[in-house]
Amino acid sequence: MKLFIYAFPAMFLMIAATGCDDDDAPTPSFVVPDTYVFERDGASTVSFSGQSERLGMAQELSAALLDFSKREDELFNMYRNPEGVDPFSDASLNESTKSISSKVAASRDLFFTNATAAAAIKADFDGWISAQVSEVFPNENELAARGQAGQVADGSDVRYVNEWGLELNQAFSKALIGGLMYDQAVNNYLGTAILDEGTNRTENDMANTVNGESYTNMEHKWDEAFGYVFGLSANPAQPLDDLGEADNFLNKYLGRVENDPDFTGIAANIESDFRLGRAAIVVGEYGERDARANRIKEILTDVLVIRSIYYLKQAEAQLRATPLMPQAAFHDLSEGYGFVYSLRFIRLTIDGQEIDYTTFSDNSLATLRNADDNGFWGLEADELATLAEDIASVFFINLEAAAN
Amino acid sequence: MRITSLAFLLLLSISSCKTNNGDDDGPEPVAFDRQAMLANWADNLIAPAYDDLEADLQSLHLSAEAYAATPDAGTLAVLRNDFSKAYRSWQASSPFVLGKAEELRLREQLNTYPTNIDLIEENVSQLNTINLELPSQTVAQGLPALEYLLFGLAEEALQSDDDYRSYILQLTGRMLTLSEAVKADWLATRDAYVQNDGNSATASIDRTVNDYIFHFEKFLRAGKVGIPAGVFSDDPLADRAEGLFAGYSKALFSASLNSSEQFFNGGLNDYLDALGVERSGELLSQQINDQFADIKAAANSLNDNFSTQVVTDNTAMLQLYDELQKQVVFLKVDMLQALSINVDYVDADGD
Repeated sequence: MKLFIYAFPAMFLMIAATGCDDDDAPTPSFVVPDTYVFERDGASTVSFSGQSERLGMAQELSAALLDFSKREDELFNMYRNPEGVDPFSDASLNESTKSISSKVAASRDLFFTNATAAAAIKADFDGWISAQVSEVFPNENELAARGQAGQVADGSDVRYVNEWGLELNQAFSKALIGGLMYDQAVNNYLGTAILDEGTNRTENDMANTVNGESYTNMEHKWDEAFGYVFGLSANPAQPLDDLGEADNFLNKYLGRVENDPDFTGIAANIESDFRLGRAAIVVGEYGERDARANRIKEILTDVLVIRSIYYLKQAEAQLRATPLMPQAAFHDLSEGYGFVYSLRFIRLTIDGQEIDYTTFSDNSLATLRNADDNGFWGLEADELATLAEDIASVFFINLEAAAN
Repeated sequence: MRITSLAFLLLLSISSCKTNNGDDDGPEPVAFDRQAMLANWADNLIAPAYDDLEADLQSLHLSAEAYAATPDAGTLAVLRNDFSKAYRSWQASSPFVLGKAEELRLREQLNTYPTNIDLIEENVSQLNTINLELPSQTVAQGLPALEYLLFGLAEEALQSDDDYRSYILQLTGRMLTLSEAVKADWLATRDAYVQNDGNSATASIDRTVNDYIFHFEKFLRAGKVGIPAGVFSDDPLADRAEGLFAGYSKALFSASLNSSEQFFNGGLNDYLDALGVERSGELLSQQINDQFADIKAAANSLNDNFSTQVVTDNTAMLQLYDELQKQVVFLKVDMLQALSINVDYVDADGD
């Protein structure tokens, strides 16, 4: 019976689908709600609580990395959320069985057959937490200098850096955007390996819901991708209302890029892509679903690349200022460092070949690390200019547009 | 046919040679002495401002010593008076944070507000261990911290606890040291500043004008008016007003505004006139000066304490903000375009 109801719109779409432009996502002819609201038998089928919880945990952990009273084990408890421990100040997070760490470098598409790479990445994240405690915390009241961790001034703000100028908490938080939110959304939940896993399609065609829930598996997977972008939105049905403010991760930077007139419009696009793709799932329109998924992936990829370029160009401008105060650039450099780390979670297919950017990311980080000359203290503006140009050209982003 | 097109080409190339032969990205060459303007800025505006600041901070430090030695109503009155003078002197210097002043973060060290009362109290209780050079201490020093101690703290507390008086001395001493370093460096680099009269982004005019407008936009418009009036937040923020303990926000605002106006009329007005810059048929310099008058008019009826004003009638603050904003447009858009100067700062969007 249910199949019959869905056959009609599917037919409409087949007709509408011919003669479509690849770049121009046409208005589909199946029912699409105006807001991200989907129901079955009067109950909402939208669910992404696990994502909201991880975002909430990440928010707390990010802040805790600058709490000098925290011990290393307390920070790792927030990161790993082990049984029997209540590391968060938000009670609902303490009740959660989820953890940030279990989903870092854990996507189906990139790491299912690459536990080695995943382990190396997880070790990086662990390392940043440990180093914050062992290198930065003890130097809370020191003035930073070459080879000396401590405080640098950023206007009237204070930044806490390691001995070569990196704010480890920024490296962690910005790298987490790539390693958790982006990787899970783009390389896991929006990929066909997960969406079409097992009998998902058949179940979805028959509207067979997951035991005890009102959603099909496929509907849920799609929502989980949505959750990594809009999971902390005050009103997820209309997620653009608080775009840029819902969290300090993908949502925030999607908002920042949207505010750049060169890229304005991506927010409306990603919102409608999520909504239309989800509606396509409801009517079993999988071609449309995947077309929308690809557009979402492109937009999220652009956010990572654009912000990488942006921070490097901002830092470059600081290093060209008179008088030269290199420390003024450290905050931008640290954020840039985290975003550049995140580039390794991108996979673009060019001329039929899937490109892995891990080496590119590592090489770029080595440039920023500047190990021969005291890290950020010795970086030169021209090096940053070249690096920004390289990133722009490798990822096909307009340098000028991203720079400001 | 060929000859005509050749001739045409030749004509084209000749006419294209007649473009301005000054620096590539400078304004149209015109009879205006940029170096003289720089000299006027350096000698008649900036140096005197730094002089006054240093002198007033000197007096302030001396009266802080007198008060520490003999804490009574008389010495406190002198100290408070000298504090007011110094605070107003600072306003006159604030638009010119260049070179050494920038390096030493003079503005941040002297006038970051709101001050952090908890940190001040913590510092007072452990006087021997604090390091005022740390960036984290920026919010517990300078004029706003002094203002809290002299006007925000109960007089009996100030009178009875000599740790407060010791801390006051640390603050005044530090401000004096910083301003002395800035003034000395200014005098030493004055000639280089004046001679660097080119059009590049690192030359003196470009940097000075950028700093001037940055100050106007961020510290005068937003810091003194916009932020307390709640323009950048959901509600007005009474605790973010300058001079809220002493109750003279308006006097500080006026001192800063007057210095801004004076600087504009110290050469930029003539420069714009020499370039013949007009907007809607009127000289831009005149419009800018008219706008300064409008700003003063809007500030006139405000309470001396902006912290009170935003609570009793915030609309009046918002009106002042709007007048300041109009001036930002004149300066940052119209004037910079006419002078072929690029904005060298970005409104920080936070992390």
